[in-house]
Amino acid sequence: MKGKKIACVTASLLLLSSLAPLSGCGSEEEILLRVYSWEEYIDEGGEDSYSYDPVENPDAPSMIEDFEAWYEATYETPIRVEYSTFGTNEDLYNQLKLGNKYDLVCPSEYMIMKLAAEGMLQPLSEEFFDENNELNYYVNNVSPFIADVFENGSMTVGEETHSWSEYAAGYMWGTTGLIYNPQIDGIADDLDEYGWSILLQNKYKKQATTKDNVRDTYFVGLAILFRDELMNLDRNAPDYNEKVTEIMNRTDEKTVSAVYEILLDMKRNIFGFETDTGKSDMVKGTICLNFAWAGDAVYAMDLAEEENDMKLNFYIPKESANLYFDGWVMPKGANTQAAEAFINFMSIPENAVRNMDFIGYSSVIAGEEVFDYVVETYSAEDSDETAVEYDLSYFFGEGAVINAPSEQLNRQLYAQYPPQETMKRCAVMDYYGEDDARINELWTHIKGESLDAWAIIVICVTVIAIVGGVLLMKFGGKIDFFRKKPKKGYELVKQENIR
Amino acid sequence: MNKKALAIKCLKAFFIGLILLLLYAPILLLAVYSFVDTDTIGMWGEFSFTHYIKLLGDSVILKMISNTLLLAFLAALLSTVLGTMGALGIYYSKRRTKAALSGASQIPIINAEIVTALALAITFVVIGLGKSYFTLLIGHMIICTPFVVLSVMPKLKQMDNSLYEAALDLGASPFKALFGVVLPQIIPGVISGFMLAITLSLDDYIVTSYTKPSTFNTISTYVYNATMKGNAHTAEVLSSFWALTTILFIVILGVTLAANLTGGKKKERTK
Repeated sequence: MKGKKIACVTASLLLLSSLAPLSGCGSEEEILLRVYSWEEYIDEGGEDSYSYDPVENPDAPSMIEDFEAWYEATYETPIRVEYSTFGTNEDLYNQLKLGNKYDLVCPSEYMIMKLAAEGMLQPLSEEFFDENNELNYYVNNVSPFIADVFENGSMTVGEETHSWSEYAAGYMWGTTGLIYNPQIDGIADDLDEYGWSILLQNKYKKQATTKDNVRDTYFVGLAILFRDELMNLDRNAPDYNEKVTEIMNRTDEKTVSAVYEILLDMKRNIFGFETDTGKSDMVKGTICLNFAWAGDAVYAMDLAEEENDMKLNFYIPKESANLYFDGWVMPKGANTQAAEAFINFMSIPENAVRNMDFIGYSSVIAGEEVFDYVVETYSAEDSDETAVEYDLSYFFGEGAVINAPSEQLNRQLYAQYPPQETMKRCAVMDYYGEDDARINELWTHIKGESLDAWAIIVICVTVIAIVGGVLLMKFGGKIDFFRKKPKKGYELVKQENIR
Repeated sequence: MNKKALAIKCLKAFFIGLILLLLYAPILLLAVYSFVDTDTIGMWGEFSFTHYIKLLGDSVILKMISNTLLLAFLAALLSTVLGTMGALGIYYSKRRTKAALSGASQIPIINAEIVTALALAITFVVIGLGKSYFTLLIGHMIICTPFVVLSVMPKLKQMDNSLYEAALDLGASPFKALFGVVLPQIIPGVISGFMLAITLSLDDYIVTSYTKPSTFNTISTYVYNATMKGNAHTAEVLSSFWALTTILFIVILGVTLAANLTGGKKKERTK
């Protein structure tokens, strides 16, 4: 009896404690800012934080806590941030469509365009772009290169065309490329010779993986299909990047069906599509080529050194590579002032460094502190005679040159901040718009067509055998052939005759 | 003849062993790697308790685990009550209603989970409930309850109904008869329904992701989000779950063994 009572009390306590968060109440003046971003995509404080110091800052607060304190100190209003996370751009889209309310979300470039096209976004305010206000850290610190991309990028909102910068502020950016294992004989030369089409080469059969998502894979298909056209463009022409971008955004019917054939070939040649096993497969040496986003590539290279004492390299193919970014946008009905304050806080160069260090991706911010951090991470030792001058002035502004070890030309530094020459061939891939359905269909067919002839035969034979077996068990007794023959001298007597 | 029997016995043991090995190989692999200081399965490192320290020392992870366990326990408790009442209702209703009711109660089992999840999410939006711990709990109860009904029903069918009638004849109120006579007979079904509900709620991702409040994370939703855009930190957290798997496995193994051993003793006694 006593036991029962205790169980009852515990159960009701549990119930109460679980309901407690529901009734969480704050003072009425407190602002609530709902931020929706990727998992682990912000400095979460603690021992892993860049700001952690065992003596001076032993319990390093997270970026969110710092923002709350900073906001209250600056604007004299308490604020509470509700920070939640999503796994894919499509999850974010679904949650917004289901009516979840957020003030600030962080989708990738194409999803920003999709949300804008459907009229779900609210433009940034004019005050946000006022360069004279010292609290506007974003406009004052964003890299000229990224600012240019955002200014020149256009998207449709309803009937009109707007530039990205009116709606979105950048957060992290990068390019796509191939991680490779330089110990494999001749792989660097092969990459130079074949570019993306190395994924079709028989020499690397079952040795490469690509991402299990339609956009990244379609991009590779396009680069292989239009390889000759891309390679023959004049790389010094002022409109070179525009031309590349035009080619890498082709989605007409003829192109899509040609890409389908290429991707089918590729699928038969590669080891497989992956979402997160590529890095560990590279480190283990199961494969020697892996399609990767720059941020992931940096992590894979670090991991390989750490866990397998092995050096991996990164390569951005000569044809073209995808320039991607994740940016802050405000859904309609957002608290503009607080959301923009959050963007600005994240754009303070010290904070950009903290986030970069925690996530491992490159920030769009180019302040002095960010450059110092890059120098600190990558510069060569004085005794290194092979060190090379690595020019990053296109990103950090005049005079930003790093004295880097020569191996960094193919490694983390190259992945995180490719040289200007390379960036020229990187193209942003827009939201497919009306052609979305066509390309999704291509992907369904690519993924669905996975059975070889022998597999189909095996399946057919098994099914026939099972059906045959069942039929035999049911009706076998009625066929003379399967009936047990009576022993010599005996006779089979029918049941009716016994009675 | 004896030799043949022995050979068959050996073959049987071998077969069962093989199946068990195949079933548990992935868990054993995780268990081994939970004691190695790498974040990559397949890379050998040194023996260490890093993953266990991370698991037990990280408040975010602990919060996630307690969220998951508490939700599973609550959802299982409520759906066991609901499911048992449902099963009783179905069992004692008239023939035609019985068929219709038991059919309808199994719809969430037959339905693809994603359909249930979307339907729930849309319903909650339409009736203005939004998303809260309450909607999450309802979502989990909807996936668990049919299974409770399913495991209680056979016990009701096996039950000796005349005992219940006798109790009524002897002056017990229907309530007293229900708790004193019916419930003790079906309790094994209720318990197995509860266990089933806990496992279903523990590993659910789809319904959880569509009905949870956005700042609430269970292990499954975190793992899904973390694998989509991984970095060094997600890798660390994910590998600390190897330690969690190992602990859970050992606990469950212990409980099962204990239950089997004590169960065996009881049987011997009755002999």
